[in-house]
Amino acid sequence: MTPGENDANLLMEKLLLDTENNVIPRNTDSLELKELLQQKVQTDFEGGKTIIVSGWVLSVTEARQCALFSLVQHNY
Amino acid sequence: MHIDARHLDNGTLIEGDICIVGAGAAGISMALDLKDSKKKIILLEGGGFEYENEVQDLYDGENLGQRYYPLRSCRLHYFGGTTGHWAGMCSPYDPIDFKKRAWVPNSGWPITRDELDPFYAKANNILELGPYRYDEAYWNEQIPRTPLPLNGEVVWNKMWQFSAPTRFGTRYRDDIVNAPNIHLYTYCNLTNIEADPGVNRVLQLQVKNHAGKIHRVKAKQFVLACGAIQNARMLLASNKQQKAGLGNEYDQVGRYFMEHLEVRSANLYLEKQHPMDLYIFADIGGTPRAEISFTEKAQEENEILNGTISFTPIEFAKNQKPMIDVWTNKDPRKSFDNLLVNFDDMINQDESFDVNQSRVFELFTRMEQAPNPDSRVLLSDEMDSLGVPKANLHWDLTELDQVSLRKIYQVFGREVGKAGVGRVKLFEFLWDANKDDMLSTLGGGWHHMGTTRMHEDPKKGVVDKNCKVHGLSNLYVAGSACCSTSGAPNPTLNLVALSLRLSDHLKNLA
Repeated sequence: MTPGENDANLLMEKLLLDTENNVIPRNTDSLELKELLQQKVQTDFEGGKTIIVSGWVLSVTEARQCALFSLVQHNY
Repeated sequence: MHIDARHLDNGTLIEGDICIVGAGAAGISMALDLKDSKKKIILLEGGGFEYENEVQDLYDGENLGQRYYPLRSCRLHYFGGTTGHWAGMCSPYDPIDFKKRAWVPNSGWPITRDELDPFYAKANNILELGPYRYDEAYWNEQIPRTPLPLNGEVVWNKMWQFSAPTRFGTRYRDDIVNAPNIHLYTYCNLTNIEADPGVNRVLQLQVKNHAGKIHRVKAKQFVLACGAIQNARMLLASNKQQKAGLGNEYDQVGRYFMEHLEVRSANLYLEKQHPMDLYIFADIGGTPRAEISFTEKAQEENEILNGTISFTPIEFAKNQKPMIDVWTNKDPRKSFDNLLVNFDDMINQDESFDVNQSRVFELFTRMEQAPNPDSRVLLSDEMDSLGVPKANLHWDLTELDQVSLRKIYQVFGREVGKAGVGRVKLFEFLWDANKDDMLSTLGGGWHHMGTTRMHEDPKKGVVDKNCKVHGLSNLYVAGSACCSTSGAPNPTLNLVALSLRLSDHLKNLA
């Protein structure tokens, strides 16, 4: 996650991308999304894709979720 | 036999085969080991059998570097030495601690962990610990507990045992005093080491006390066992024959002072409850427990120093102050009392409290310090009341210390996340990777090491692999001053093992 990702649409794209199949799933059912994100978090940790955000050792996916939440909150 | 040197005629000549200077953990362990030998052992103690302000004053000095505890109160100067207030935590150094590591400048000992193992076992007995077993499997058979499900290729559970703690001053007083071949002299403060004219061997020691008596001590071998600060101080202060002091031809004495970096560093938030009793400090002298340690592979891959993580339930940790803010009094008795007050919540915990119900734990680091020649003991311009220059301390930390502290929690946080155990949140001083000022609330463990480090090259260390001072055929140093690197564990077990290895060596000398 970098300043280049300071964009809600870009973050959503990266979060939704199913990296295993390199596609964004059409089905946005919340349970499936949750499962996808959990899987991405696990893959991040296993691959060492972690980042420190305000002291929290997070997966990059979690950090992107935080960033998206922050941007969306800001826009509202 | 015990002799109070204040009552001897002034100018008495004391003679023996081996003279051990200092009756703390190192000196007493050596004397006990030599108890049944045919050698006449002279054991010198600067104080008596009880604490006295006038004697303790001899340890006063200034801190010139990284914030540290008052030098006057972080050691004890009477028979039994600093074991008079140690906490009893014991674990051996790891094999990697003795190895040369490419990412740790000045690392590597001239001995291996295997060479020290037989002496660790003997040290375990002297410190009245359980069996010499520090593997998790053994302790899990004795006390079944559930470890965190973390990746064994990255982290492992390093076991600690707890001494009662053994107070050498009371526990071994009779053994020492009643031993026919041990001659304990109290109130004998070393004030000068005199070598032969060529400065190849030590001829005699000068000792003094506050009764105004000055005596001489002659022996075949001499051992400095006064603690890492005092050993260096006495070599530096014995500068009548060599300006830089004895054993200091290459300006090594007093350098590489090491402590353990002990600091509250992060919180662990468990995703769901997990039994944590394997990791929790139960009570003084209590059940062996584990700290999280890092495998050799993980240390090498991440280029970190060796360190461990311990866990305190947030219910106890939240009211504790950093040790460096607690141990501030120059009177060791008052600082010790303050320490107990700081742990009051833990000591007097509600019996209904169940650690296995806790979900948040404060993570405490215990990490080796990178060997650093600029971290050192220096002589002061001020003299103590017996005319010896005081010792000042310039404790100095490096970028590797700071970087390792942070990386340890990055790695641990990753493993905790990977295993689905929870998440780790670093304390603010570790957030910024580029921040290079060391935390002001960082403390040490009152562990002094490295000031006469072991190295086969006299240009890189003070003692050889047998703890003999380079260039002097009959002068040795016992204890943690000889550590080439500091490992993560509290040093008492290690320093007693090193001292027993030295006494074993001396037994075999003519």
